[in-house]
Amino acid sequence: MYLDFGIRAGSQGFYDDVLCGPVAVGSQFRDTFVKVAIFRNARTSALLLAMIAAAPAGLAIGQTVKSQSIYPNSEFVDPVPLEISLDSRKVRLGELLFSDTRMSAGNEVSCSTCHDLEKAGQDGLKLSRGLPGNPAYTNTPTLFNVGLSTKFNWDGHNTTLQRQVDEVVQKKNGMGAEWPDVVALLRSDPAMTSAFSKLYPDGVQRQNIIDAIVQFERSLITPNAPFDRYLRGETDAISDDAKDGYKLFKDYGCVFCHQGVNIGGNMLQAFGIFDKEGRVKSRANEPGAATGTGISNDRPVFRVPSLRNVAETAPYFHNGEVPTLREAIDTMAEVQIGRTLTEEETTKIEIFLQSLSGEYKGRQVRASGNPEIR
Amino acid sequence: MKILSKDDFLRSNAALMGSIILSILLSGTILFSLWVYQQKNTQIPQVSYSFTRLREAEADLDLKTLSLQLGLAQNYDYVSRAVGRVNDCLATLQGLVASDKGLSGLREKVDKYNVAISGKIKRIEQLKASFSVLKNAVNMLPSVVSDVFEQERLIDQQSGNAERPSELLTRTMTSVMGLMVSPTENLRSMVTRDIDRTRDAARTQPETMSLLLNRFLDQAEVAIRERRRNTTLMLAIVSGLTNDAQLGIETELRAMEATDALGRQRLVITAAFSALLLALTLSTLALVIRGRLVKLDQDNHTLHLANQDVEEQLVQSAKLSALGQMVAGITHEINTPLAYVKAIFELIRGRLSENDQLLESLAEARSTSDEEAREQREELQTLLDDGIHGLEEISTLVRSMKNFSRLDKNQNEIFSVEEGLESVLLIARSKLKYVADVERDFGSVPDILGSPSQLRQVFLNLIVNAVQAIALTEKRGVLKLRTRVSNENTVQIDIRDNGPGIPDDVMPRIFDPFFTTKPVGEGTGMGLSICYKIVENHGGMISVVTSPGAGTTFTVRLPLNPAKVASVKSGAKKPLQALAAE
Repeated sequence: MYLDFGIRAGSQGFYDDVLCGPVAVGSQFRDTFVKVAIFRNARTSALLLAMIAAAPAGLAIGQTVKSQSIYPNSEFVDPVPLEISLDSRKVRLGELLFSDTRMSAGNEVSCSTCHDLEKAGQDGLKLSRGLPGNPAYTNTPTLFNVGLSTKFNWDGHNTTLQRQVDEVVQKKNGMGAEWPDVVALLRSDPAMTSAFSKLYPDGVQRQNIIDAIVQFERSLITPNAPFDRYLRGETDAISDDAKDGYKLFKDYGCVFCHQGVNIGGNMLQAFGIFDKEGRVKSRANEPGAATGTGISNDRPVFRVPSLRNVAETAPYFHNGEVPTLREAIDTMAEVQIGRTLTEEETTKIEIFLQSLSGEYKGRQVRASGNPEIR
Repeated sequence: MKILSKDDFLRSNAALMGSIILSILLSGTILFSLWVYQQKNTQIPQVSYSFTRLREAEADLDLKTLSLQLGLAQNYDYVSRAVGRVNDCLATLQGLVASDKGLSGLREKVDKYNVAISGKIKRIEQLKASFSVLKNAVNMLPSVVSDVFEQERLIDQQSGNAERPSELLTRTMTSVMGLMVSPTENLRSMVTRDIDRTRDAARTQPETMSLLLNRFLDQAEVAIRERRRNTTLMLAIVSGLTNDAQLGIETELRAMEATDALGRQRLVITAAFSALLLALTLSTLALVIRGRLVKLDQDNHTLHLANQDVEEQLVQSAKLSALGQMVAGITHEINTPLAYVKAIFELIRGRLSENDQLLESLAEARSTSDEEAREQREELQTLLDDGIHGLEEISTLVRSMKNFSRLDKNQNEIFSVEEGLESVLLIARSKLKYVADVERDFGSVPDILGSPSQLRQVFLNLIVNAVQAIALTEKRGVLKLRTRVSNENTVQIDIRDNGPGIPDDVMPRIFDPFFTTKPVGEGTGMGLSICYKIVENHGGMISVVTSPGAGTTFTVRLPLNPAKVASVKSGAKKPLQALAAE
């Protein structure tokens, strides 16, 4: 219907086929839009304005209208890919480095100290342990499916895994290392130098260490969650309660932020939009919050976390204040969408969220550290 | 200034070296041009390509953002990945620009673009957040409204003269939805008014209804706020935040491309021009080499000729030398019997004059008269005299042969060429005066070192030959004598007659020993060959130029040696001075 609106806004002629285009031929639409973006003349501006004006109309009235999308599989949530193409040798090297304490100051911790793959890629602690004298102030996020996110950490200021790894190794309450030391230490190990020289022409280098770790992190996907199987057409992969939970999840608007393949992890949002009673600590200067985003002046802004494997990654929220998933669901409904859920609704959403736990290398992701073989 | 002829230029070393150096320089220029051209080949097109890719990525991001707004994409992954691609492309472009000094003009502009894109991405993040909240709020409204309507007991309850909650709710909902579709200021103030009135009304309602109404109003306010924000952000995003920066880069790139193209054109022209010059230089070089080869050929020919001359002279010298050796032997062999015979002749004559009795007894024995005897004696006397004369002639010939062969080394006397000529003229005067006039053209040449007697003999020989040649013309001729210093170490003496000249068949043989054109008995044929030998012994040379009918010029060149002359002169004086001093 907004297409009609666009035409009514005075865009007959040249752009008529543009407007009919998206329904018929996706690529043509795309190409023309590139032109629209590049050649801004009065007429196009008029078109764009018309579209902007039209959009909320579509949004408000046509919420249930299923668009014939140019994005073939565009759902609110996409399933985790079953496999991902990577250089297995680099992944293997990255795995070694991942649990190598030489990556930290004082040889104390490795990446895997906090991101324990046997504990669903995190540590189960309220706050990350930090280093002596440099306590951390946020909860450790899971590393599972991290390669599918486009923003990292609670403040989401890093948009590439390379930058994130680079930063965490140096962070005082992360691993607290100096890169030259790390590089020197690894170079003194003949096994490492030979492993590196086989994969990277310039051997042990900062960017190569980072790359190997990033390759490993990208390999940490957990496909085959029951919900993903449901999305792929296995209609009885999840229970009716879970299906109801997903419906509530969508109807109540949770899905507007928790969307995409990672059900989050790709945007920032203010925390505590409807929190009038101060139920969560929602001060604008909350430690670990993003700064300078312009998204909110009176609320802290965080990355919307991924809900993949969420049932296994308690405790919850940036400060790990909330120990159970139920509480987390209730709090989010209250402070983010301004709605109080019934017991039943919370249960159904919880069941739905439990269906998001996938498998890493064929094993169910579990917080317990005692994974059962599927 | 000396103007070089074409041939001279082509044969000069300067031309050769110049051509070679110029060829090397021009080749260098061409190679350098090609090298620079090669260097230029890489960066700008790459930057251009990278920039185009970035713009495509940005356009794609715009598209994804718009389609988000249009509800075509249900999640933000598409937008987030588009942002990732923009960042990647931007990093590539920045890397390229930073890696090349020649592109420093672009750096600032790319940085500006980076800032603009960062601003845009920040706004897109804001839009995503705002959009989620807006969607949520709008999504919530119907369910909140239906919650209110579920309170059937309270919904139509009127308190005082205020409107009923159902009316307020419906009106507010309608205006909010209107605002969602068309966010005009007019509608906004209407919605604000409706919300305020509903909130006022909510205060007087029972608690349940008040709570529900406020929940509705909260959502409505969030929806209005985010709707407005959304529109503002979207307008900002698509209004060309990065246009100026893009245009800046594009303008700069175009300018750089133009400069680059101009530079390339210049390089091509330089290379082409250099190639042309190189071709010219190489042709010049070819001509120079050819010229030099021709000159070499000529030199070779000249040398060959000179060599032939030298060979002829060598043959001549060898002939003379062989003769000299032979004569030295022969004269000795002849002298001994000659002296012996001569002595006997002298003895006979002496005996004859001393002792007339011998003749008398001879006459008696023959029974002749005294008269007869005396006649016989006188006859005998005459015969003896003739014999002795003949013997003396032989002695003279032998001596002259000896003179020829003897290497008279005594050449260290001061000799004035002009005085020598004068004394010879004096001697020859008797033969000369009826035949020719003498013209002297003396250049007051300096003294030389040599053997005066030998040199005088040379001059005498040449002058007598000239006089004899003039005599053949049967008219009075002219004998020209000329002395000059021909160059700084040679004296040249010309002896010229205007006789009949020397015939071509005779010419090659005139210096040969025993060659003579005179009747047998008149010349020995040794004159010129002796002259030749003498002059040669003095380190000089003798040459002849003749033209039939016009005369012959003999030229004698003798070396000047001023330093030696001076030392001999002083050496000769010193003993005298020494004597005087004593």
